[in-house]
Formats: sequence, structure tokens, C-alpha cells
Amino acid sequence: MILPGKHLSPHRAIVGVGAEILAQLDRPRDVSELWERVRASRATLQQASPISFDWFVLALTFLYAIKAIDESGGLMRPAEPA
Amino acid sequence: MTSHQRMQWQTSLELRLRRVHGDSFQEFFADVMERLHGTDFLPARAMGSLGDKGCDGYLRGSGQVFQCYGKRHDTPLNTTTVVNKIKDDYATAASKLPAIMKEWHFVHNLFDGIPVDVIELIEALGRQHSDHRFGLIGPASFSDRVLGLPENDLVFLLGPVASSEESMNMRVEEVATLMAGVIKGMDETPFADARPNQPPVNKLELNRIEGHWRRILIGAGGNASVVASYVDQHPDPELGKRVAKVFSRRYAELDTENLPPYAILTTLYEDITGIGSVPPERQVAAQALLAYLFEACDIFKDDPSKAAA
Repeated sequence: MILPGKHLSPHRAIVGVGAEILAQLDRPRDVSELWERVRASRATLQQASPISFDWFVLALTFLYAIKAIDESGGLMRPAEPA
Repeated sequence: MTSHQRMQWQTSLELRLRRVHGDSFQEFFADVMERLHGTDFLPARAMGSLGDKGCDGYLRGSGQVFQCYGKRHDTPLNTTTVVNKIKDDYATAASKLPAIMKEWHFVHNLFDGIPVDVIELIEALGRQHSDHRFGLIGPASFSDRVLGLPENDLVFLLGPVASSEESMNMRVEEVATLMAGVIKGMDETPFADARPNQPPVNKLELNRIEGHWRRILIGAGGNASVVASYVDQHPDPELGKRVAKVFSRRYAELDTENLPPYAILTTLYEDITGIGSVPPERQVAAQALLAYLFEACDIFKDDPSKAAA
């Protein structure tokens, strides 16, 4: 689930989706805006494979768990390096 | 019949011969012989206390008496039982059918070969009873007989098979149906993520996969990429791993039973398609799914040096 595997492409693995989320955090954004931006970005990929909102939230939770993002006032932003 | 259809029917025949046993094996043999010989072949049945007189079928033109032995696929072979059956059945037929019997043939579905004791016994019977000819009809002889029939008979006996065109135009909806069937009722977490791994080119040799299954896996390789694409596009990102888990476990079970590779593939194929007449489009999808799992090394062994790398 987290890493790509034989049956899970990098675009759909949690780390891959997490990377796409981070790429959209050039400024603080709320969850809905992030979701729309990630979806729009994926739609431009040549080998775009669908992800559900649940899967997107899993990737978001993963980023938060590894302290890659912070949340404040409903907005997500990249975490400051420790 | 194209070579592609022949290969498909060979697979169907093997499935059928592995599935039938006892009376159903005898009935299938009678169906084949009636199609081959018409009214010259007479299927025989036990009639109450009279029994079948050691005869499951009779070919009038040549005076051949057939005795069938259909072993259950999942039970071990008991050589003593088979040897005693041959002795008893021949003795019965020889004593009760002396006027019509010129040849005696033992028909069986022993895919993994027949015990040498049986061969010795048949040879010994031939020497002791020079007035009769003896023969063994196993899966290979069965295959020659069946595949020599016209196509309409093959469809009657084994069901329709996919043409080359149907194989090249696989319907992904069939893959979806099969995969949904595999994971139906399964509510377990999939395997942990694995590092991407390409199967070695020599995997077929390594696992000693030969004959028509080798050709099927190679031929279905193109459709395997369609399955991979379907898995990648499926709304559930875990679908591929769930299906892989089912088949990895099933393969491990079958491998533990020391079944030969073709028997494992046949069983896995039947696990996918189910028992009974399988429509051509489903055959194509099932073969593609097997090829996909084979290429992903979810079934059969990988090159140990590559697996460790």
C-alpha cells in the first residue's frame, strides 16, 4: 500500500500520491483545494490511474504521520525541517 | 481446426479427464467412442445382479472390450488396487464374453503415468492369453481420439473454445468478472508491499512448464498486459494484491501436494473458470489472468538468484 509493488504502480502507492500532494503545497491549502489540484494534476499524466478520496486522505494522513506536513486552521502546509 | 483451437480443446479435455471419475469417466469415454464409431460402439451397463460382465463398452467391428478406470484426481493411486482390478475384470470378461471378445483394453485417466506393475501385468496377460490382444488407453490416447473428431463433436463433448481473433480481442469485462469472483467473500488484508520484480525469462524452464500450458502462457502474454492495465485502473488500488494473495496461497497448497506443473496450472485455471462449460471469452480472460499472475511471480517459483537479489 505505501510502497509501489508488482500490483501497485508508483502513481497509486501512498508515497507516490504523497509526493503529488507535496508538489501542490507551494502555499497553504485546505483539503478540498488540495484534492482538486491533485486530481487535476493526475488527469494530465499519460498513465493516469484513478484514486479515490479515501486513498487521497490516506496519503495525507501518511504525510502527517511522518511529519512531512503540518495543519493549522484547516490549512495544510509543508512541515518546517526539525 | 486451428492450432490455437486445438490447444484450447486440449486444455478443456485435460480439465474434463481430471474432473471425471468412476461412472462419469465411463460415460465420457462412451460419449467419445459413440462419436468416433457411431453404432459400432456399444456402451455397456451393469444390469442388476448380472453385473457388466467385465465390459464397460464394446466395439463390434474389432471385438474390442473396454474396461474403464477413472481415478479421482485428488486421491492417491493404489497400485495393488489397480492391478487387482485389471486381473479381476479381464478374468470376468474372458469367462463371460468368450464368444465376442477378441481384444481387451484398459481405459484410464492416470495423468502422471501408470505404475510399472500395470505394464508388466498387461504384458504378462498378453503372453498368457495369446488369443486376446491387450491395450492401455490413457490420456494421450484419449487426446488423439478426441482431437481427431470433427469440430461439432468437439463442441458437444468439450464445449466451445476461443478463436485466435477472440483471444486477440479479449473483453476486459470478463477479467473484471473473474477478479471480482476471486475476491468475493474475501475480507483479509492484502500482502505487504513488495519491491517491483520482473520475472526471469527462464521461469518456464525453471518450473518445467511444457506442452500446451507453455504455449498458452506465452500466447496469453499479450493479454496479461491488459490485465495489468485493468488492475492499475481499478478504483481499488489493492485489487491486484488481493487477487495475488488468493493465488499465491492456492499455488503454495498445490505445490505442497507435489503436483506436476501442468496439474497445478489446470487446477488454478479451473479455480478461475469454475466447473462446467466455459464460454470462449471467459477462457481467454482466465488464461490472461494466469499469465499475468505468472509474469508477476505470484504463482510458480522465481529464479532463486533473482529473488535473493
